[in-house]
Amino acid sequence: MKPVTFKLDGVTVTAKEGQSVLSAALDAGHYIPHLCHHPDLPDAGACGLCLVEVEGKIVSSCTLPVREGMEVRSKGGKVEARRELALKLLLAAHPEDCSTCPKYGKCELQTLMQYMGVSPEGLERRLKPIAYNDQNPLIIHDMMRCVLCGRCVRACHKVRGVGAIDYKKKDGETFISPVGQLLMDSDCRFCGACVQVCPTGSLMDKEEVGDQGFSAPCKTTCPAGTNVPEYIRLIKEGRYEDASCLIHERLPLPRSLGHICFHPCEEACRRHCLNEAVSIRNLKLAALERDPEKVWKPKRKQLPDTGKRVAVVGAGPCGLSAAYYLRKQGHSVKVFERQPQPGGMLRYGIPEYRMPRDVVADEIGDLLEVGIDVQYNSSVGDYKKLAAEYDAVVIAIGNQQGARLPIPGSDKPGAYVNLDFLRQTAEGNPPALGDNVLVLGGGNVAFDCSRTAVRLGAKNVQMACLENESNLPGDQEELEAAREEGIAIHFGKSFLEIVGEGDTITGVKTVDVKSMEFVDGKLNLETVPDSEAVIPCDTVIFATGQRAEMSPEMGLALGRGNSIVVDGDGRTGLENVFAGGDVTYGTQSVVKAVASGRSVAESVDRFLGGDGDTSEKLIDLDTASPRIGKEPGFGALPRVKNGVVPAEVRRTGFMRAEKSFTCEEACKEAGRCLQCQLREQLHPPKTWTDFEEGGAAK
Amino acid sequence: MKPELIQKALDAGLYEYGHHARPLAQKWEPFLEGRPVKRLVVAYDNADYTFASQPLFTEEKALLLSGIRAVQEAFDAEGVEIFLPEKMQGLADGFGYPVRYGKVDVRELGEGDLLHHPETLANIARVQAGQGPMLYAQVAQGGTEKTVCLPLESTVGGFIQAAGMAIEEGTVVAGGWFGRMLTPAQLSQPLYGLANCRIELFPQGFCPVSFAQEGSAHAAAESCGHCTFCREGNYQISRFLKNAVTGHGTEEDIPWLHTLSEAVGEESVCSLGQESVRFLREALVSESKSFDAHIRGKRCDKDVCQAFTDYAVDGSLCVGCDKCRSVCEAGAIEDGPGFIHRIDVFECVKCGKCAAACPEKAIYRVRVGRLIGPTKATKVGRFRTSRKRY
Repeated sequence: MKPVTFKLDGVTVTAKEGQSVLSAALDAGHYIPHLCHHPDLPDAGACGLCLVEVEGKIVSSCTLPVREGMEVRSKGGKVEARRELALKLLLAAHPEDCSTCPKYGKCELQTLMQYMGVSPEGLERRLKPIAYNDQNPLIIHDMMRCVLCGRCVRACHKVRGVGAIDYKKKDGETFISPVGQLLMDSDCRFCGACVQVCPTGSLMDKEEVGDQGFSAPCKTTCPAGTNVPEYIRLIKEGRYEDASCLIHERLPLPRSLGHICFHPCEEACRRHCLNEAVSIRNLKLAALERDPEKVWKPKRKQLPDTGKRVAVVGAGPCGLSAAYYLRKQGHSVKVFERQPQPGGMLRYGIPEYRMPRDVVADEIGDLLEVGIDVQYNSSVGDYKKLAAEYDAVVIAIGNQQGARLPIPGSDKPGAYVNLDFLRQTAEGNPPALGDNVLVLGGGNVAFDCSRTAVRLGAKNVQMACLENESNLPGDQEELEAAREEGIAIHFGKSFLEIVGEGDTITGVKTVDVKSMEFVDGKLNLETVPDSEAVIPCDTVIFATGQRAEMSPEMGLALGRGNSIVVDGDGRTGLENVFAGGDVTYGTQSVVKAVASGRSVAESVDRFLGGDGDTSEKLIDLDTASPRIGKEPGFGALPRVKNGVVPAEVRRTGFMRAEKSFTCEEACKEAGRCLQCQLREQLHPPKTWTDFEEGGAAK
Repeated sequence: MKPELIQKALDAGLYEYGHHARPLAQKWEPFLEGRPVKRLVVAYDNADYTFASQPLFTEEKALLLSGIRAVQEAFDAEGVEIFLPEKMQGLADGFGYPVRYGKVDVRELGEGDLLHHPETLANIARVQAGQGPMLYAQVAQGGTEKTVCLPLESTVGGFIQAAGMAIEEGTVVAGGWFGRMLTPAQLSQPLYGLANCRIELFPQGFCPVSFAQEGSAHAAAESCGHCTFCREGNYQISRFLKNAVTGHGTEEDIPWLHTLSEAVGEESVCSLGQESVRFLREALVSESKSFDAHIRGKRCDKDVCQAFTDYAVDGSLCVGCDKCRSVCEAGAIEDGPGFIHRIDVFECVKCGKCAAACPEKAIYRVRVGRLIGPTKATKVGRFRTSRKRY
């Protein structure tokens, strides 16, 4: 395409053939005021602001194609007067008070008003009689503020091909509204493009977007930063291997996580405002199960050896992640693991019916094969000694010590502690259980304990926890599964004593909780007077938290719950000793642990002279099509439920309790995604000051 | 392509009908030079509101259809689409082409769209059949409207006559709200080329300000609302003119009207916005005195604008028959029977029903404040004044 040159206010501007005068001017850093123009939308020439004078005529520059040698004036008497008139007309039909508008300071209309110094004085002012509407999920319509630039309609029709909103006219007033009554019955895809391009405070997100601009919340919420929306798209397109590559770019052990991740992405999924979140974890698993060749592996990054030696303590999710990325950065890595096998909680904590052991072994094998040496059955007691032998040390030992509540009777032989109980079961030596087991606690570990007890043959398993059902710390899915397996749960109980003669247990004395809250990490508990009762049982399992096995003699500064105090880079007080995972921030999640391991690996790499960049490209990702098209009834599509093994069958053993998505289920579920990430392709509002600072081309 | 069909239309020197009238030779030029016709769009102008040629969709349906087919075949158009105003709902249902209702979004028209007014297509069909081109027009006076169809070259006077109407003195407006006032000489000129489809007769009492106000209110109501100037400009113009005809105008309104009407006409992308200010722009110049009278002088010289006149009972004519009082829905008429009726101007809604009901023609409109009857209860026959109208 040959370039075209023309004159704008006497200055020569070079443009691409077929470009509009406005976009050519903006590209060249010359600001012409405009409102309905948006770089990612077809132009409409509607607002009347980008007027220029050419050959004696005043025309919109956004719809004026450049011609060789044309002389264009954007400044000067008549053209400016008419542009000002357009703005006056718009302002006359717009609320006067900017200070109460949520878009204050980020509004393109406000910026134009300031830049042009225009007020609608002399014209008749009116407020459009269109009520504020927050009846729709995710999006607020405050069309009284609308200036009818039509960007939202063009985004919805021309860019997205959806057509859920359009111009309407009632009682002489034009306004933009869903084509049906509400967005839900207008086949809206809730992609947010309309909100992204709105220059005023007319279309707003219900949840305010920060100054960084919009990004898909599933991706930003994932501790590992997994590119969730894009791998969902790839799954929708049936490209499972590509999805697997994309997932592996950010996540070690992803298939294990596909089974047990606590999926914060799903809590953040914007679709929950419509009906239910997308089943992201199951989708991820579905993709990874369909990559038998592991096509991502050969593309892995491996930097040349640096000659530096790093010791990693703990072969759990965090330690393995740290070791993996450190090795790929070229360092020689030795892992010390207390247990005879790697995996940490994946192998010794989370029960097998949730976390199949072959998956764990397979994925850990993928990590170790990059050249990591693991020394099993080896406890590290002296970190200083290790620090002296290695260039750097990473402590990732997790929280391995279950806590017994300090109540009378807690040391009876029939009272077990969560992690010991689970580990012994995983090792094939479960402790003896009575017929009536009571698990104390309401987190996921408590569910693991109680569901394991059921599988070990306990006739009657119950749980009791401080919280009530609405603020239960464990996952909702776990609660449902536990109930199906016949586990009764006592909510709102505080524990006073384990009762029973001598070593025997006959029950746990409880008191009802009236209210509870955590203030600065400390529990404030109010109980109901005279509500003491005894829950009969013969075995008790404490599942009330776990802590790190650290002691001050180890020479590291310790914080709450014995955690190691680290700075933002994972550095401990010792010069070459780093720490990551649960041991630094308390018991959280596997996904946070692998993310923490990677981040510590980056810090250590920088410490050892590397650039700390562990990123790798396992797939050359194509750009998602912005045109998502119309899909009748999209908003109401229900979440696809994966199959489960019937409770009466799964109770009897440690076979996997849930089933993976079939291809068909995965495709259907992936199709429910709102594709929020497409919104990131659309430029956020830009103001004239952006042009002064860097020019439009920047 | 069927060159012989095209040649016939070109030989007849046909023009495109409507607001964007120009020779077909010119309009067809790019297509004759090889640009393919993707779609033949049959549509009225967005500015149109009378749709005088509506019979083309009913009585003359066969003619219009043959015109559409002729052009479609002549240019090998891939498709045909018909746009109709809402009020012509269903009229093209049997045509076998997709029909859309409402205004044509000119931004949606592409290079391959050939747009024709139904009247143009009908005339192409007529020419193919060896007939001469015709023109539809609506002639209106007061509440009466009549649609006539005459040979294309017929004069304004010819249309008036064919509609069975006549005008001795007063004002003739051609093109309705978006048209122009004609000079007496223009009555003997062909309508085609002067204005579109509607001739309005005002034998007495034509107020250009009031007429422009109606037109701008109509344009504001009809605007699709996409263009700022058409949407907001016509809204503001209609407010300024409303103030003018209700006695609330201010000095600055006149320059505003000039600025706004010029901008709306020049910056709008379709005929609605472009034509909506045609009458106003001409009248602001040719009838500037009338605008001055309304805005500065607070008077309507033609007694059309109700804000400047009141209904009043002529005390010397009223017989106190009570007929006016029985028809007044506002309860604004006092006294009688036997007493001269009086109208309470604060209650009066100026509907004129009393004047129509009065057998003595004793009720008529006077300039606000003028007294033609008694100020207090007075027996019939006890009031005398000259019956000279102000």
